[in-house]
Amino acid sequence: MNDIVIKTSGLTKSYKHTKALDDFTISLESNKIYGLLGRNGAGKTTFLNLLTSGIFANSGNIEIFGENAVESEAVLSKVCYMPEKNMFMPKMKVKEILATTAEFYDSFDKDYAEKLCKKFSLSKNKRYNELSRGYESIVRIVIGLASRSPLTIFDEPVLGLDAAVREMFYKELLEDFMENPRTIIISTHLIEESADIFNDIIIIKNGKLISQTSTEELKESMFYCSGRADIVDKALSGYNIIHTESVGSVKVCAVHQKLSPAELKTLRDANLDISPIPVQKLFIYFTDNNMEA
Amino acid sequence: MKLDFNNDKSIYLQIAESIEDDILKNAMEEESQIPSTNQIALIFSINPATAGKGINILVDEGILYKKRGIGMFVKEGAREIIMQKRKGSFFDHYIVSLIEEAKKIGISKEELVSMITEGGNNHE
Amino acid sequence: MNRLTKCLKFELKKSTMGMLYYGAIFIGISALITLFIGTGVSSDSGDHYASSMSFFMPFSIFLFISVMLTYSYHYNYLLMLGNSRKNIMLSQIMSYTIISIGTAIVVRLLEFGMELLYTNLHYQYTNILNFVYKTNLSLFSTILWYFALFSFICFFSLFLGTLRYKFGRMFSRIFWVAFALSWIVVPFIISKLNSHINFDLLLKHLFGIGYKNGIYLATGNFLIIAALFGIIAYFIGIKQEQIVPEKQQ
Repeated sequence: MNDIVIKTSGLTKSYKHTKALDDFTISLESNKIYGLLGRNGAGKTTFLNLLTSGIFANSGNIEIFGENAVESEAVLSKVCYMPEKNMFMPKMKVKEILATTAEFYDSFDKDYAEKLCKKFSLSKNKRYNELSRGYESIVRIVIGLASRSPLTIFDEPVLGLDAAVREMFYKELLEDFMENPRTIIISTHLIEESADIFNDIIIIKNGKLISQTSTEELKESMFYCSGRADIVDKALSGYNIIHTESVGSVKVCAVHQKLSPAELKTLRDANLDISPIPVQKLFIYFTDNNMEA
Repeated sequence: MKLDFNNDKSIYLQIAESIEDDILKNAMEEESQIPSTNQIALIFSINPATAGKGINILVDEGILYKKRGIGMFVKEGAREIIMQKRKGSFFDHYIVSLIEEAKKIGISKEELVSMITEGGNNHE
Repeated sequence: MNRLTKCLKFELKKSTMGMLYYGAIFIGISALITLFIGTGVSSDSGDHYASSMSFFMPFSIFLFISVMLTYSYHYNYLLMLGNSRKNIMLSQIMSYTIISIGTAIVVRLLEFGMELLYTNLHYQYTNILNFVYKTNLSLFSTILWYFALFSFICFFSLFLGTLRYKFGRMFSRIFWVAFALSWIVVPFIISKLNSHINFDLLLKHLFGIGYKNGIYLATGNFLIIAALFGIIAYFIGIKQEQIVPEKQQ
């Protein structure tokens, strides 16, 4: 059983007339890789900024490592947050960025950072403002991984990177995570390719927490059911249908219901086709504004 | 060992089945060591918990066992266990859908039986 | 090394390196220019006086602009490294105090060098402070005076930096408009209020002119004003929510 590393309760952040985060209560266990998913503007970055005292909540508590996390250096010195927006000093050379991070984070592994720079072909003599968008992301990846902080947070870590480099990142992340267990949160919109590296997936919609489950549970929570429209309607009555498409007399429904093997067999016996829903679509259905969680 | 990410079956189940297949084929022999959870996780770029879940299923069924400090091993008698298990679900997994498909495209019971006999002869 | 010290080390390194790179070039050029202008100034007796403003002015301008403009970069970067706002603001206050002392000493040394140069060139040279306070001042008192003025400039600039961070583009616009207008508006206001407030007297009090040991009075006044701006900046900074300016993104 893992410890609770992050615990928030009733976390709320309001701006003028909108609530960027609404009564957000969540518990995260240590030594897991969490995926933080949500549409643009759903509140992912707001949540991460609140966790790291970048911004302040209107109400609610934040506990990290069992302590109040707000403006606590004891906590924040053990949290490495690589934000999406650029907070680096433009004229700083990469090697200086690494050295400064090592100064402020006791757990920073310089040799590992060196190894990562070589692996991702990051030139240490370049100034930050001389880097391309992709290499700006690589700097964050290198620092985030080499920090080995007990809580490491990446906000959109693979922006601007091609598929091969993204794959390198996921593999490197997994390998180092297994060798040096720690809590990692990754906020991303690239669900399809990253879903399987997560232990748990957290879905935010309109500032609210609408789902926190393992990747498998999420995948198993919904399925497509298709067949002749009248048969589909009859067989699925009483189930939670969240999306429907009709082509002629054929109907396809996305069903948000965990069924037993026997129940599924009943559907198959009725000449209906049961198939899984791709993770990307799962996410879209979950965060569609029409759907009730 | 293989993994099909587009398959509807959960990844941890696929891992379990994949290891079972390798044991049946003797690619993994009884009392031999299999890749660790971490190694499997790394090969397929999946979370080690998922890999571990698949392995734990096989441990629970007596197909694998853990040697402390060394790793996961194939238990003696694993092949037999797997064969029995698969025989049990053979009917539901293969026969039922075979008959359904045959019905769908109009193959009679007699045609089906002769096809199976022919297929069996070719395979030997 | 505790975190406050780490922040301080970072602040000092960044600020002094910045001064070395840009300050050297900028100051060198403007010093040369003012020198040549200065040598043209002659007093009633026909002696040529060199102005000791040739180093003080460029350093002042440089400090004023750089402290204000670099504030957001230092603040955001130190915040990203997991530092509390209290430590960030304290380290800035400490670092700019040290830089004010250091700059005061450097400027005095440069002026000392100038004095030697002028004497060798057979120009009359007097430190402008001697001129203002009408007495020969000790090295210590002039360094102190420079320290006080540089502190005032740094902390006023720091205060403006916190406002600029808070209000972003709007601040820049208001600042430049106000700066341009002030050349007209301020003299106008002064002339209007001159009947009620004796600005001459106010300035004399501030700079300690006409007082015995007036230079120390000026030093004290400017240090107090600097401290006030420093305190205001501190309280703005520790409550500030993080903003990443668009041009930095």
